[in-house]
Amino acid sequence: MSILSVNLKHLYQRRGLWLVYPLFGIVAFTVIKDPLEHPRAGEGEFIGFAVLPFFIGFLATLPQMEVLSKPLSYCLPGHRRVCRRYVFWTAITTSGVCSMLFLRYPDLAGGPLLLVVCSAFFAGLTFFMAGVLPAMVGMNAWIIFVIGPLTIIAGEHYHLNVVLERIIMGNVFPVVLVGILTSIAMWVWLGRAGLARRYCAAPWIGFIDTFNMEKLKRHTNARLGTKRGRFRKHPRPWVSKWFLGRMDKYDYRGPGRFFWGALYCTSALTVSRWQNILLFLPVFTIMFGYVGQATVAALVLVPAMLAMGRQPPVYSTMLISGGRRQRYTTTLWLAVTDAVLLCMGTLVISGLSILFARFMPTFSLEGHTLSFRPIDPRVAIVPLLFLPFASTMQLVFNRMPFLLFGALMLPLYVTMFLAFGWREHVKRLVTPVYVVSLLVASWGVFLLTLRHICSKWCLVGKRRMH
Amino acid sequence: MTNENAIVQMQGVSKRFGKTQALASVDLSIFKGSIIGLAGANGAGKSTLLRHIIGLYLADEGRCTTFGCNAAKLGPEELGRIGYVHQEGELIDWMKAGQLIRYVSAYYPNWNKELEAKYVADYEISTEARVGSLSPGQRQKLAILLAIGFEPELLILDEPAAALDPVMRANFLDLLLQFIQDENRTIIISSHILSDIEKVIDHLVIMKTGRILLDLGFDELRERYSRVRLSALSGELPGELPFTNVLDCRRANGEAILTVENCPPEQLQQQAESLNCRADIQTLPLEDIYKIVVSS
Repeated sequence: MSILSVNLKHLYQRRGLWLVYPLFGIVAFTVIKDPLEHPRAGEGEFIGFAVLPFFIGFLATLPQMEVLSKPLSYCLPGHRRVCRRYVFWTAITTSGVCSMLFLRYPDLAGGPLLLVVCSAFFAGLTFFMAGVLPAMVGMNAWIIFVIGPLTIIAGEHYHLNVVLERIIMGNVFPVVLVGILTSIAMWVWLGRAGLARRYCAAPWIGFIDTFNMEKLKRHTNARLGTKRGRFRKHPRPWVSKWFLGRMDKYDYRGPGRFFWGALYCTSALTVSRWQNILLFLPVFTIMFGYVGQATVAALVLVPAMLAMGRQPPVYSTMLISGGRRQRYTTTLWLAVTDAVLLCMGTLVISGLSILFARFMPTFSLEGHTLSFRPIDPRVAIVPLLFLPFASTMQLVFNRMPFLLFGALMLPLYVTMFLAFGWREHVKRLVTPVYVVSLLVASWGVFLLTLRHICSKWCLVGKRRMH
Repeated sequence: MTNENAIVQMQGVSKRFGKTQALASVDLSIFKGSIIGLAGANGAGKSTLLRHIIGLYLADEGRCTTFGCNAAKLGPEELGRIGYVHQEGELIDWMKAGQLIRYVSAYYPNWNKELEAKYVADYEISTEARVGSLSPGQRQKLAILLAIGFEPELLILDEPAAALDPVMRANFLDLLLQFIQDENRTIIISSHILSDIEKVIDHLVIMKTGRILLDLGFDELRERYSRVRLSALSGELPGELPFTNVLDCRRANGEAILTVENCPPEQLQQQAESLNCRADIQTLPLEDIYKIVVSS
């Protein structure tokens, strides 16, 4: 059996991917159903040529990354070069099959049809490589679950499917040229002598690894341990000094000391990168201003990311002098602080967007315009609503990352669903009374859950519930 | 000693995790000024017991008080008197060791900076190293420093020496002996390395499947079990050896090795003389005592 065949077998041998295949099946069915059943020209129905290679490119590269990051694979004979063959073999097959969709394109035959299929093939190659890149560069495979929904929202908002279809139809030679250049660039990049060395024993998180707490911890430690890492000088000494100074202002037994201590633990790294925050504010303003309604989805995502990325003080096994009562108040005030800061951040972005709207340009592409619109300051309520929800999920599913992830992604997908299909109904529902009721309910549930955990649950160990 | 003097008192404490009975009606009193060794196989309930003492776990049944306070309601006043080195070694990985020491010290008014400096120097803790990048041994040393830096009255060590090399383990045991010089202090140490803890403990608790099998002063325990090597002064050993409370008897090369319980050395000596035998009487190492208690 050839090395390439062994690597291709990973696509069914890796059971973690089986979880993704049903999701992929739904996406594939959605994008090929219409062009096969009722093909219509110029309506963006043929977007499958781009979407499927992108996702297949991403998914198919993950097992390769898994193999490359294992130290043993570096020494396997002939294995260092197989990655390139594997990527191109799957890319050509996928793009070839997907470009066949255009054979169903109405009122197209002969030479022009051949040219369009050719154009779709090379566009498919480009999208495939665009899927390979985040899989190889991003050190955590779950990034796709963040990129995916946001791309779908932005794509739907700007009718990217229609734009892309028109580009394929009307710009055959530039598309072919871009496809060839992208493939050459990827061929060279994947053929570098140092590629296998770069990934050998590199800390990399695959799909299923996200639920392996031990591996996640090893991954974080390995990244922190690198001398040239981004966090080499973090947290900045002045940040530590400032937080410790705040702690010292309060009594040893008082809640203030525990609150500032917890805030130090959760935000010293972020505060150390204050320049990044200042940079992100205008960048996010521009992104949200152009993307429009995706802002809401992104605002749902931030509390979810906070909940996934850190341990609530209530569950700390490092014993300090705080008891259950102190853990309760600290966790509660930390959630309130997070919500207020996120709310303020959203208001700042909204304010900046009103300012930017005066001079931001409008772009036109294939008959569609991308215009910058100010962000409604009322969306600042979103983090206030979702943060207690995310914090409640974090408390309940703290040692069950798989369920935590599912529970946190749920509101994102619900938001997407509502934004697409029920927009008008939702607009009617969003009244001040409704929002305030939801606000009270979400904070109430969080408070009750936290109180129950602090008075009834075991706070450390693998099994916490009674 | 009466139970009123106990700093930790557990009465009928039971804890269940699903189908696993982690603790079953545990009664235990811990008094000031002693080093208590906690021995038991994996899953015996040692860590669960220790976590009840500091209120991280709550009992399903029974009552646990620490420093006279219900363990579930321990606050800064009581927890400020307890140091805890935990099995998981969970620390704040992104901090540098020095930053973590400063952070933890901020919670204790009585943090001893001299002790900290001495410990950092003696145990070669690199304060500039990132906690997440420390070796398991270095992490363990740091965790120990964080637990003793404020000179707690009760020091709870859950598998503290597992990651330390033999030299560091010896130093660590010396440190415990220095720490206990103050008679107000108490140490509870849970460990699998019985040869280490037997050098320092004065009380032993052995656990099995959530129950306390033995709770006894270590001197008393060592007196309870003896090993006797019998060799005939002339001729052969008699076929039957009239010793009482014999737990184990092995014969080889004209000698017999007996493990006996509750037999004073004088009595053993007298009996050996009556059989015209020479008796070498030794106390049992903790590992052997542990095996006897657990298997019985």
